[in-house]
Amino acid sequence: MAFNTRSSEDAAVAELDGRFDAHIAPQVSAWIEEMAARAPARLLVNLSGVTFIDSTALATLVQGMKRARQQGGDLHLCCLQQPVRIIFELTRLDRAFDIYLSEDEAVTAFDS
Amino acid sequence: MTARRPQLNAVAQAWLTLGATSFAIWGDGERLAAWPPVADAPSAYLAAPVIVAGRPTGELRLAGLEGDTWRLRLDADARLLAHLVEVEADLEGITAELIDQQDQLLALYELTQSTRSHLDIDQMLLSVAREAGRLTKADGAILVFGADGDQMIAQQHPQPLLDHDALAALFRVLLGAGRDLLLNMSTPSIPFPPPVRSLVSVPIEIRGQLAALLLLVNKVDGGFIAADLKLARAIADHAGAQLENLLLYQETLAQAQLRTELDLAAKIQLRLLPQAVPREAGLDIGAASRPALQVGGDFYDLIQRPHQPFVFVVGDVSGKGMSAALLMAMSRTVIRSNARSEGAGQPVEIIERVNEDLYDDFTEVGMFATTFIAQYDHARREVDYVNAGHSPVIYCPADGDAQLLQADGTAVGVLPISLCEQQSLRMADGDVLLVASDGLSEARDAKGDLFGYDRLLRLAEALRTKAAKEIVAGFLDAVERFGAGHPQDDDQTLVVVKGIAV
Repeated sequence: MAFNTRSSEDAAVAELDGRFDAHIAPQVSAWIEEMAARAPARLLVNLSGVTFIDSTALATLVQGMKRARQQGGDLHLCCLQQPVRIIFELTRLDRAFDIYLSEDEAVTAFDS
Repeated sequence: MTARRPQLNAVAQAWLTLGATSFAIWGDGERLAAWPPVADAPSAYLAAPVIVAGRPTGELRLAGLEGDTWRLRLDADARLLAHLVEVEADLEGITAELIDQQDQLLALYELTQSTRSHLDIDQMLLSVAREAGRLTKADGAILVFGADGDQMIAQQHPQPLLDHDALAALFRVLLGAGRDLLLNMSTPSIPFPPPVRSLVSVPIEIRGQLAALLLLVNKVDGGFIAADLKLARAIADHAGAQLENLLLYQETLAQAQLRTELDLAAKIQLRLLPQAVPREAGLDIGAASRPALQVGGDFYDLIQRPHQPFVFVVGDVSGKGMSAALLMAMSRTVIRSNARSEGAGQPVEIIERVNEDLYDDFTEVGMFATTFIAQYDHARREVDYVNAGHSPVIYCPADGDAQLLQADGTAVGVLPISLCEQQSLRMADGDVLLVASDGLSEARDAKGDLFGYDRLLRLAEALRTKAAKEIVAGFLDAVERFGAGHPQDDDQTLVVVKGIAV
């Protein structure tokens, strides 16, 4: 499990690898808290390396999405692997989030 | 006493058929009900008292039949009615007690939530003092912690009532007493420093030693009562556990989960699941839940409603531990009361109201609950359902392949408005619907591989001809065998309904 973050003028980006579950969720949650407080709250979580996501992790992302939208921003997701995409589709979370195929697309979408 | 009208009707009709000219129920000197309804009260009758909890509360009166045989039967009816009334009263008592317990649990839960995030002792002491003052309506609450007697940490809420020396002296005396105290006036052995007029003192054991004290000072109105002492004791126990936990954390820099919390969470969870599977014409129903060691938020409910279709619910609150278990209890209660309300309506209307009721609370704590709500229409032999983000749900028609059903809306608490649309499934002979929790699809084997959706679908097809109860057992067994060598990460819950010949 790896969790890396970087920040540019366009967005704050978090990149995860491996299992995204209750073990890493608190770190992600803390990052979201910090980034959502900035203006504009533009958060992007790149899930390209994530092979599995559990309900605690989903709850963390939902909370981040709500927090960012409260601040007038948003939390975008990108680069979902097939097993993760299936979970988003089965649980209909693909309706709640804006999900993109690439990081560039996800960042550009903040301006639209 | 006349609440059971249809049953009483049957009894009365039986008497009339046997030759009675009238049958009546009396209570408080009045005729509560009579069969036939217009009959005037007869002057000659047999009477049998209805004795509830040792007190005569009414009478059955029978006219037109005489003799010991009829008297004995009437007595038997009266005893049966009395028993029914007693059982119903007991049930109401138990319900009220449960609600009380839930309120207290929630209050303690808030306290847990407000203190668990604190990693330094000062903040934690202040937080407990604040909650203790609020819960007991005391003028002031003080929490004192003195590990070795030489150093004392104290937090006073809402403002310092006692200076350091006065508090240190009082602390020594009260801790020395070694027991819970409720004093509404100063005593020679325990003199009150001003402005103390009354106090509750509860010593707290830390690692086998009395090392801390919760002190409530000056009740807002009147003196303290025994209930304040009891509540203070509960808070002190909690504070003690938190303090021990904090100390452990500070020493090891690894936060230990409180065993008591987990036990409590597990108890709540098991107690809230239906204890028996109801009988429902046209349906064979099976259900089971296997909690993980670290309690999750799974729940299910099987709700029979008078004059309304049978409803079943499966849900999963995100996250684990105490918070998940308590939110699960809350969700279950909200769904149940919505489903049971007059004019509850279709599942889609129930889920909309449930989402409205719970959205703010779930947002507050950053959690959500996937929820599947279905009702069975026996006339159409169909199940109407909404699926708010729940997975996996498998439909296995008698004549086709098993299929995984997508949710049609997001989980409760994700979006302010439920997007659920209601769907229907045929539930004729042999059609099977399985609503499971992700604890089954996400069970891992010794190598860390997931059980996955494909195995669930194949298993559904292999087991579909069996009875619902056996299908449930078959799934849990298969998942358990698969997971041998890897601890169960999450609750595993499964409700199976199957159409059967009527």
